[in-house]
Amino acid sequence: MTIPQLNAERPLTDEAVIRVTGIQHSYHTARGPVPALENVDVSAGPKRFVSIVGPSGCGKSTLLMILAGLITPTAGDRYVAGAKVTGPQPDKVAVAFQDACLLPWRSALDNVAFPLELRKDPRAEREARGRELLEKVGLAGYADRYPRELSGGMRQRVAVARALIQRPAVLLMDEPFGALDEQTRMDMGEELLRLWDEIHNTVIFVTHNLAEAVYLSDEVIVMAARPGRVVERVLIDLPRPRPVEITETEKFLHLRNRLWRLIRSQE
Amino acid sequence: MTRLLHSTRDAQLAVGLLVVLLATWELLARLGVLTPETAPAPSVIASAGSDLVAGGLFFDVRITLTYVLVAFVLALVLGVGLGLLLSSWPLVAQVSVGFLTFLLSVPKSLFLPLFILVIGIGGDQKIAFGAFSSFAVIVMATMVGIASVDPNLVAMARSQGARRREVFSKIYLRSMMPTLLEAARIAMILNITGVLIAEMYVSRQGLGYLVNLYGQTFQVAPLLAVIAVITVIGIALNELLRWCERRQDRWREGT
Repeated sequence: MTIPQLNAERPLTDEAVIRVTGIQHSYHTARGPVPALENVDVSAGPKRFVSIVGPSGCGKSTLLMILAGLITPTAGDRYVAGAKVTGPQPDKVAVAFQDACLLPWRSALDNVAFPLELRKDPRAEREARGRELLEKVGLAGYADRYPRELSGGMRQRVAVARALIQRPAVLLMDEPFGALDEQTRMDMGEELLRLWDEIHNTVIFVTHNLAEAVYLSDEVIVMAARPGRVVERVLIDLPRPRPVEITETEKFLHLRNRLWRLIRSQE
Repeated sequence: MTRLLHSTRDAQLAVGLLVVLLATWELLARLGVLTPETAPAPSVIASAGSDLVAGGLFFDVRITLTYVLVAFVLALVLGVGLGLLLSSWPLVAQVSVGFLTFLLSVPKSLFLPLFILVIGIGGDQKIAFGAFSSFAVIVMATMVGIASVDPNLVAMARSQGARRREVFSKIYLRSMMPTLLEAARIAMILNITGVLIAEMYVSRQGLGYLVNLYGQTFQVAPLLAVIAVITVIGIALNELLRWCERRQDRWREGT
């Protein structure tokens, strides 16, 4: 019988909530397959906030869709909570998409409660839970509004509320604040951290904004393009909670510059 | 979508205009300016109409309305079904859109004799011809509707665990609804035309038959009375579909 050793060196991925290994992915075009991702391994441990950054075309959004189970890679495996799975895992992995992706014909409340409707929860229950989530993202008074009556930031908050309604262990976010103006983007980041403090699940956050990645994350995965691959994993050892002022500290700027140099050196 | 009558004030104006027109017509007819054989006074048409009602006009109304509604449902089900089927293969979809555009531009009445040869002259032929007249529009709208569904919404629904059937009903069908309802309204007009032409061509009952009968026997007052009844039915069906459009379109209108 082997005695489990404390502090034994073991791969970080052992305790990963979500992990993909050996991912190869190519797109089929008229001129033949174009490699989008080559030999990519990505994992995130419990309660970790992990960002993925990289130049456009590095396949970071494709990678996120593979993590979500929405794209089946050409090769490679995907594990969620230790089990090898294919396809979406709605009760464990939720996605907040780039452009909010709200159903325009539904009110904010009905959008937030949509996942529970698919799960066939009773109406009263999903409405109560929907209102609870809307309140969490600061939209308590907007339950009956249609998406077109909400601002871009509000729509994105509704999308985040919808992604969180099933209490997922993993929240995948695909440039959720990319379409927002700089001020709103910072506000949303701050708010996301506050919310995350409360739910404290695993987040994988795709962005091309390096300051945003440093501000939000525990670690940042830097990718390079042609073909898409992971270059480095940078630990962000800034203390939490993080007030916005932290973005002006030397350490913050140092980390941001390091990410910047890593991306620059790949071009 | 824009409404024909924006307010009660517009509605009052429209009714007022109609009354003025009818009164002028009545006056001109009574003064002998209009020939009574080709343009009888509205009062004469009305009394011919009430004679028709007493003589069992509603029997014909019911027949024609039944044909129209059955043909409409048939065209809707077959049209949406075929549209979905054709959209499953991109290449087939591309080819068939061209074919459908061609079919839309051919006058359907040319095919009426063929329908009589193949199906006969009974009610099923009226229904088949009505459905045939309108179904290409539905197929086309279905295909256009499917192509316009936002793939991101489909991805979102799938990530939340929606099965194929749920993706279809909650994303596809709902996204396509405005296009489909608009097409349904056009299809209804084509469908009514189809059924009436089929009735006028060969039949012993229905409103189309009456139009043909009174036309051939030069009875203009009952002819115009029947046309008035058909007009009312047409407007009613159109308004019903517009009401459906508005109902499902509420999310588009601002607060």
